[in-house]
Amino acid sequence: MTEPLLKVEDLRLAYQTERGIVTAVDGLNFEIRRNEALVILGESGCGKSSLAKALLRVLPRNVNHYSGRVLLDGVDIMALDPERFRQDVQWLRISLVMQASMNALNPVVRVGEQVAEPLWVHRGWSRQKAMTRAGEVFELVGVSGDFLRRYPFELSGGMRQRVVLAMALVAEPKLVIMDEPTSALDVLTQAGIMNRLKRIKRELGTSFMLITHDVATSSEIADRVALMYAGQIVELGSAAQFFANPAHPYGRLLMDSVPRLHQTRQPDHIPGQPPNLMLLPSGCRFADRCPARFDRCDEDPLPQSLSERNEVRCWLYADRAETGKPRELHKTPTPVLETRPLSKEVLVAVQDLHTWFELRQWGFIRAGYVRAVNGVNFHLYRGEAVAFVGESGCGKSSLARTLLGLHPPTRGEVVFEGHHLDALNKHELKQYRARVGYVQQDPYGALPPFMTIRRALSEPLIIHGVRDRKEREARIRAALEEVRLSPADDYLPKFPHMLSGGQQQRVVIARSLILQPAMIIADEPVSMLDASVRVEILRLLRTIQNKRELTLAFITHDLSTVRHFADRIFVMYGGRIVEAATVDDLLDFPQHPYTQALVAATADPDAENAAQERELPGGEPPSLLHPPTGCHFHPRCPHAIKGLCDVEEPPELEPRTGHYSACWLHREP
Amino acid sequence: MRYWSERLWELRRYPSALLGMVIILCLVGLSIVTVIAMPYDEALDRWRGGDYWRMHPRNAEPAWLDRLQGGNKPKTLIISSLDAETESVAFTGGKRLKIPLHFDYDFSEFPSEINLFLKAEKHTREPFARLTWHTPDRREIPLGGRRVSASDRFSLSQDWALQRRLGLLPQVGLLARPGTDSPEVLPGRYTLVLDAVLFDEAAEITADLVVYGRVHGIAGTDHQRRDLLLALLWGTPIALAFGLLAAVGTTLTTLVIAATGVWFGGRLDAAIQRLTEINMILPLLPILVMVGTLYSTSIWLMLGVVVLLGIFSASAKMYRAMLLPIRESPYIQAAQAYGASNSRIILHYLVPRILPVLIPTFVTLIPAFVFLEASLAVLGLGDPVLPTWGKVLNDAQNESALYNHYYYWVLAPALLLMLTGLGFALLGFALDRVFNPRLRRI
Amino acid sequence: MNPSKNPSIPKKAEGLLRDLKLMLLLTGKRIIALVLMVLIGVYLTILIANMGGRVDELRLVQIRSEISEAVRGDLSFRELDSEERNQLIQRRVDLEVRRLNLDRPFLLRSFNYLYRAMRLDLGRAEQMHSDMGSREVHAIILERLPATLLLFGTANLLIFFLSVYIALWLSRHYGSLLDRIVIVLAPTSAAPAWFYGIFLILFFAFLVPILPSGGMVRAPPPEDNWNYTLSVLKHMALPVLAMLLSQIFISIYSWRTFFLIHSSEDYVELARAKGLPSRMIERRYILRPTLAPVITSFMLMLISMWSGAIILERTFSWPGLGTLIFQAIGHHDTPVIIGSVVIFAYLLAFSILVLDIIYGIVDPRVRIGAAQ
Repeated sequence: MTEPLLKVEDLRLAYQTERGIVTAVDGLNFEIRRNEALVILGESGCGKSSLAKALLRVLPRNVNHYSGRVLLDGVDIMALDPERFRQDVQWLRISLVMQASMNALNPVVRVGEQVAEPLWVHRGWSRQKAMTRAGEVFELVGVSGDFLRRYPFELSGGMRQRVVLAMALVAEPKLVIMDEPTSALDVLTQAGIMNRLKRIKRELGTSFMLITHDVATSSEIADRVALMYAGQIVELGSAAQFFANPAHPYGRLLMDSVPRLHQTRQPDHIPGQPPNLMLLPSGCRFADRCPARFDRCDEDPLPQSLSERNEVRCWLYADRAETGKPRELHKTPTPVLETRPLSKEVLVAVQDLHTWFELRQWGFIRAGYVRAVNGVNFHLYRGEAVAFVGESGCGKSSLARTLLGLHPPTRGEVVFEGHHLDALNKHELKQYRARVGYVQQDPYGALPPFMTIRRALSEPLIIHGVRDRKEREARIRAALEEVRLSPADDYLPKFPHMLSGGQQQRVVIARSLILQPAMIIADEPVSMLDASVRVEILRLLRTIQNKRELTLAFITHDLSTVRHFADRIFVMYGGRIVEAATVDDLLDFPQHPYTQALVAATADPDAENAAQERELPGGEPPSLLHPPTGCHFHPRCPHAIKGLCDVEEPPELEPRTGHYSACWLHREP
Repeated sequence: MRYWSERLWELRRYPSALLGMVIILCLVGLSIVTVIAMPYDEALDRWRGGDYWRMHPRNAEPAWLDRLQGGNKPKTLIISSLDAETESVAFTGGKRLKIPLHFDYDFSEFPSEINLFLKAEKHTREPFARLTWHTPDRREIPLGGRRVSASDRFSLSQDWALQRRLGLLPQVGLLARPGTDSPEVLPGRYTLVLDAVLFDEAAEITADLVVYGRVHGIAGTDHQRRDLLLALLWGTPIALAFGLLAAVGTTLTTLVIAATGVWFGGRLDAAIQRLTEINMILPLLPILVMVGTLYSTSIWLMLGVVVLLGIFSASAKMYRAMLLPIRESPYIQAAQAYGASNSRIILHYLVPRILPVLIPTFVTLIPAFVFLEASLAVLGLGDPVLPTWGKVLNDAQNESALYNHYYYWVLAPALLLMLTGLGFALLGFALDRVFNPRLRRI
Repeated sequence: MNPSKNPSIPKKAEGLLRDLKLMLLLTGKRIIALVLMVLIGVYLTILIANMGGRVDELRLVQIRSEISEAVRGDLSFRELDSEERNQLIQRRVDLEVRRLNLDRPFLLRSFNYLYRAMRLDLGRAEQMHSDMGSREVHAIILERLPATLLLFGTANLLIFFLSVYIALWLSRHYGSLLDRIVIVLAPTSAAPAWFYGIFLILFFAFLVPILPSGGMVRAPPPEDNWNYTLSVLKHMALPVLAMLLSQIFISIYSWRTFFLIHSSEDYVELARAKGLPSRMIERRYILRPTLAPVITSFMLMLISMWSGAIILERTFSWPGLGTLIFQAIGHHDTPVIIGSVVIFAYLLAFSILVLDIIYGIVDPRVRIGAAQ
């Protein structure tokens, strides 16, 4: 048995804030071996990002407590003085990959220089030599060397993430810490980067510490998993064991809550909320939400060893030595969602819809058109739930905004309950807006931060002429009841920032229901929420849709969330619908090459994932300003037929009954 | 709203904010008292100058300033004939009055001027008056006599003949101890005897002897004998009103216009932006100067121009930058989706969002405009009738106050300006730290 | 996703060439935009100056008085009686009015004015003349310009560099004594420079007379260059100090705050994690990305200072544009006042152009954005 590369002992980190002391990291112990990938899995606010910063000593000014031992190759790097640490450890031995939002790279320095910088600072290399090396790492992560002299804002999101990855690899460190490296990216880009990481791990023998909230992504690379909850590691074990059979109740509930592409069992949510890191409860921190809770949970649980290198912080396993078996986990089964048969009454008919945006220079000169929605036809029936699936920039949000009447269509028409949308006058448009509800991605942003919940919910009513204060109050309370925020008095006087993300999203749903709409458009309603809350919101939407016989247009980039929450799926690419079918038919028998790629890229959590690379199309999504001719997917399509796909737009064909796909491959031979 | 009260409550943690608020409250209180105690028209009328101030000394420094330095400069003494023991001797067709006007003088310096104001009434023929000066050491100095009109004055200190006779300025010579090389005040009781012959039985004459001092009141006086206190007091409400109105006018209109441009976008936004850029190269002060010389220097016109030029000022660009991301924020789209009208979105959704960030800017803008008004006045473009701090400074500068060591004349309005500036700036900076989310995070 | 087979590192020269091209493009665009801005700005000035025909009235009165004086003074018209003389005057006035196009509609004339103003042909002063004796407004103004540029250029550059460097230092020493002093002193910038000028004059010229209270150079001016420079420097000390006092604390404060906010950006954290030395982080990761906004705020300060110049110069009797405007107010010399506004507009536009170019140099986003 060799010595581990990194051994962390009793690491603690706390911040002083205006409202109190936040204990972000509370006594962590773990180790990472050479060429091993450890995944730190946890929901937002469990302290996992602080862990990355604590290991690299990038601490904010308000640190209140910072202690523990971090042994790197047997040497305690916590004890090193800052200058030694900076010169010897940072970047040469441990490097960091941040979530590559626009801000992860210095906007005014060329990316090549930013990547090469550590080499001339730490190794004293010449700039030329360092740049050559940067070119090599660029190739390693799959970015052309031509981009070395570009600035970050000239790169796409996926490319920036690769550059950040290249930066971390440039000095060949033994350990790379990655903090949510792919969570802001599209499915295909994300899968592409994970493929790269697997190859790099195999070829360079680097160790990784991956910090993420996304169970599916974590399974892509994990050798071992550490599950974090409220500043502590509650379960630590091998990936195979964790993904197949997690031990800690939180782990089990978490795995059950993950929506899966290839599973017919409906996902379930975890009730309750994680504790506030300022007011940590004594005893087990998960006890409040735990279905298996018993009296001993009032005591702080000690880590129980299950097998070698596998431990769990839960009293259920304390007496295992005597009984040989852990206590049972009692969980009330959640009711299965019912789906109703499709009605045949058309609510919305969309014909040849185009939504283009004008680009202007200096506000006066037209520079071109962004073809966000570029020729779309479909019908939505009353009472059905339809999912629009596609990557960012495929036009799905613009389609939503056109359906909401926020953008006039450039061409084509939308007919709603028999009325042509572009023929509505100002008054009728307002009436129409009451008939269509809107739920957005970012629940906090969707509520005016300066209005109380009561005020925010009264706004639509005031606008639509409900003058009577008592009537408004009654309708607000009813709406809150419907989204299961009760008692209403607890929520009405609060401001949005005082609620959790899930509660905020419920308020947004309540607001969308308050005008008694016939249709709700939900644009990525759960992608900004934590895994355990997602299912809860999706179920709520589905239940309300069933009960009220609403039409639900559910827009998402994540195929795995669709299975139980929609009846039909439309797959969008480059401003067009490329495939349409019922949920099961589409997920089980994808026809269009793009849908096939999406399905292939969507991972269900499984320890096997780490072993294989996925088949993915290359390239980037098409520019909406200058879309490719013919089929928009042809530059990336492995089956593209030269002279046909790049010239002529494919017609909508029906390769299976009721299953439509716009691809030349389906034409009769 | 709770948000506001919470933020404002946080202010108590900043001593500077409390100090600023105390200063502002004092200034506001002073303004209210001033406006109540002396109505606007009256103040304006007096500030125009003239006879109202004839019994005030010129360029007298504040009394407390001199006393603080241990000085004993003379105050102004006014001796009225109504209080004097008048001897009256009647004769046919008239009477002869002998009015002794006594005063005690024990100041260290000589008075700045001596005047005798006479008022004769109910006569058909003008009376005749003769003056004699009695010193404490019983010297008698005849000061001559002449016929007196209905409202007349003997300007003793400008009597050149007397000056030649005494060999000193009259106001010095009359009170000096005789026989010393450098003149020195002879303390004691002086009497000016007015010997008047009235040619009518019903006729009356009253006299006021004014021995002008070298110190006056709280604020001193200017070259036109006006009490500076009037301008200093009335300058407060004017400065506050100008600052406040200009700040409100510019910030609110700019904000609403920026929000409108941001909301509607497109050509309107572009036009507003181009206008701000053009406005940026129009220099504010020179244009105000131009307007002031070509049209009028009325404070209201200036205010109008300031607001007009302020509408498309650089802050419009700042607000625009702040509003652009808000325009795209989901809650605005949601509002649009549930049917909120354009004006409702602009006024109820866009503007309130940046109001907290705006408040500090607004508060710090007030003193900027107060100083702008003062700047114009110092350039001689102040409102012609209003008593303002800037005008006091302008007068002081025109009279070379610093060169003549009338420091109080410059310092008092300057300190008031500074106080106003500091009060609002202190509060504004603290508000900025409380309301600006980006500052809260550091 | 397909890595290029031969990773080619683009040559540095290529990048430079691209940047140079972009900069030329940016400069060209900005010059066109600014010329348009000046054009409209000057036209607005003309409109304001002519609102209600006030300027025309002034000119008419001036023409009439000049002609009647000429006629009265002319011996050859002595014989005429008053009736005839008035008619003669009226005829001459009409002639002059027609010659100057004053009878044409204002709209037409305004464009004529605009054309002349853009060419800096600002007309003749009514009362004032330059030291060389010229009555041309542009000669009068250009004579004063260097003094203004010297004073404000020095003061502004001094304030800019001092405050940026002190602010950077403070952002590293957050909460230090100097930091707290700056926070306390920042509100004193509510008062403009001329205001501090009064106090400075009071103190250094009267109470402790070590520096001159006004003017630009000792009278009579020293003969040799060295003493001349020394004398100018001595005269500059107080006005520069006044500007420094009124601006330095607020500049340091706002830039320190700005740097502090930006030192918590992700890329700064990443740079720290990279183990870069703190001086490098400061220069490359805090200062460089924020230079553009720093320059913008410098520009706004500059603009307000140009305006403030008038009054500061008046306070210190500095013989620049400001004093000129002040004298023109005193003489009611309209052409000089309008001319000065036009010159100020040019100065501001020029400052903006210079800063736009600097903007483009320091921030690639501006450079590349302009080309798209």
